[in-house]
Amino acid sequence: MALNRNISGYRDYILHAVLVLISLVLISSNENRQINSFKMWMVGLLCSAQERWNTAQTYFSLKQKNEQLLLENTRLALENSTMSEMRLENERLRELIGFKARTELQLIAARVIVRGTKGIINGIVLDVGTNDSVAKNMPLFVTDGLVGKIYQVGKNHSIGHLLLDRNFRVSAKIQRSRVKGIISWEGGDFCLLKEVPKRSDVHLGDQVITSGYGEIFPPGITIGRVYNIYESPRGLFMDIEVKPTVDFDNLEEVFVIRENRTGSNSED
Amino acid sequence: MQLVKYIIIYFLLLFIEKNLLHLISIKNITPDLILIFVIIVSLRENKNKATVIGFLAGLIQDVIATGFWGLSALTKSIVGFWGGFFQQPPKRYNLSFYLVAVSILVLVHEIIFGFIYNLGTHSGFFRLLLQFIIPRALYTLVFAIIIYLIFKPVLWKSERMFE
Repeated sequence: MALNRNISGYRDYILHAVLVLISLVLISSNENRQINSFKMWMVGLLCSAQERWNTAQTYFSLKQKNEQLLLENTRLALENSTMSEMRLENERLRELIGFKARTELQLIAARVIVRGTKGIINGIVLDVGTNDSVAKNMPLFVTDGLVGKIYQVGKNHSIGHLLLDRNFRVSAKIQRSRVKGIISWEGGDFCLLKEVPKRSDVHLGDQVITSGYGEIFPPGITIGRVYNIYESPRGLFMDIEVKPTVDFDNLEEVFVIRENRTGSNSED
Repeated sequence: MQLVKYIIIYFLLLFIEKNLLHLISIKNITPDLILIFVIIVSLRENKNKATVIGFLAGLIQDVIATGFWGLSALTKSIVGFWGGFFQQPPKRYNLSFYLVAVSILVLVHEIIFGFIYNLGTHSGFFRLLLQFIIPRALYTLVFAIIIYLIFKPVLWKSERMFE
């Protein structure tokens, strides 16, 4: 009886300790397959209502969106004809120097169901999953540039981590001068291109693209433009502020890149 | 009945957080409405109930907001539990007392959250403190004050919560 009374006096603390323990176990088992499956099932359940809401919202903006797409389509058709010429020229030149075909990219279109912002964690829930051949770490992009990568996958839904996430890193380079560095996000509207040696050839406005290192992101995807350059008098490297080209506040559709590697490459 | 009310309010807040809050984000920082909800529950209910509500509220938020399971569940169950120590009879919930309680709980929440999520990165904690923890805590605090001023008569009218 006395023991019972003692325990009931500490019931609050015991419950609190148990819940803290469960949370810590969950945190440490985020990569566990069973936990992941259950989590993705919950994502599907919670997002079904959200999906209906999104569909209703889309209905009212269809006309405006159609007009925008028509304009975009015309612009892209013009761009495409120029690009075709350039591609043929490029192929001829590649043949001349014996450059092997690198990769074949397949795009999977996905709708953003939920945009989750939590200060340092920025993710999106997409309406595609393993049933659509989506897998973990596949890159996400829109026509404006790199969005992020797939973090977790369920059957019909997946969670993507955005470029604007504290734990996101991507190897990048300046398109013009091929200077390489690592892109990360440390808050605000800008990313930081780090580990770029001082006196490297970097100018304001330079385009920053993925370098293709690390086997996750294919090379050449636009990340942003150089906005500011900081050189500390003591360090060996400079910090370069990069403004992402993607408007993360208005993400509605993204493309998942499925890469089929077909040969070696000698780039970089 | 009270539980049903909490569930409805929770999902309403979650809906607002997912669909509308980005409209008022400042430099990618938005207030944490679910945290304010858990704090208010912790000031109204007994510790056990508030801890469990905090845990579940955080868990669901984790699933659809972050994909990093367990982190919000941990921080919000901590807030739910420790919020109970700030409980006062309803008439003593004046703005200044509420402000002190909410400031401490929000800051504790953001520090634990930021610290754990930052563990995998090579970035300094001080930078995180200045760029995320303090701005987000302040933004959440502003919203907590607005909610207090608007809903004060509804939130603290019931004596029976403090049995």
